[in-house]
Amino acid sequence: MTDLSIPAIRERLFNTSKHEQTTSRNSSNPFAKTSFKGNVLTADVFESSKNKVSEPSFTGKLGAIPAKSKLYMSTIVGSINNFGNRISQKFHAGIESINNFCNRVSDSVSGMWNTLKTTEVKLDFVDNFKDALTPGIRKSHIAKIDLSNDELYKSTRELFSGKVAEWTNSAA
Amino acid sequence: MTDRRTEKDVTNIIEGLRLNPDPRSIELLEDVGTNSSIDAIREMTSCALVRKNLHDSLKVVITNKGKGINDMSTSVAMSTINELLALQDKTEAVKILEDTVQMHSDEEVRDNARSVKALMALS
Repeated sequence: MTDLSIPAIRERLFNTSKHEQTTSRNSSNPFAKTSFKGNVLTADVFESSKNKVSEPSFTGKLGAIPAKSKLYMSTIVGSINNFGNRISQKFHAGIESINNFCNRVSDSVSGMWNTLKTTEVKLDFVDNFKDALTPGIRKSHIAKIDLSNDELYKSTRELFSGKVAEWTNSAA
Repeated sequence: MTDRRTEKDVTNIIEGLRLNPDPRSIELLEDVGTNSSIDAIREMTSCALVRKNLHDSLKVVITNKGKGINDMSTSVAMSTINELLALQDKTEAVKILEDTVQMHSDEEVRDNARSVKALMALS
């Protein structure tokens, strides 16, 4: 009587070479003995029948993860690596941009300082206010002088000549 | 360095003489202003004479060698020409320029007057 227990079925399924000759087939295929027809193929067909669980594995618990899951895990690990690289690149780019920014700020500050050193700061409104307060020659006053009067003409000429001479002397 | 006060005083005198309607103001500007050794004073005086827009004042800057448009300083000459071109009523200036081109004894003055006249016709 055929043994239908699970270990026996498993033995027949996974050790095909041992049970091939006793398996009855209704096939005319001359390659039937070397084909897998009539047998259930699983993913573990080409794997060693030795128990791998007992072998030491550096992956530890990951060793028990199915192949499909391993693919996912490797994808995840690859993604993590990529992410890490990108983070690293971004970090370096960030550091470089900070350096550039600092250099630019430094240049701007030193440029501004040089500009300030070479710029003469003048408070024009103070000078204008001072001029308005100090008595001076007003054009409205000159415009009203009666130059037909010889005395006034002479005094105006002396005033004009004196101021021009003053400018000439200070320029020399 | 020139004192700011002096510069302002000279500027005010020149501007005051420009505004003064008395014909002797032109005489003052010509005698003192256009004969100054300072370019800035000559420039201000020439511009003031042009802005008066009178026959006698325009004659000073157009027909006299070494003054106005015939000044040795380029900046003075160019400022005077610029002031002539900016005049609203150019009739008197064009008339004096034509007379100068036809009748002046100095060739350089005639050439300058001809050039300025051509510029005024274009403006």
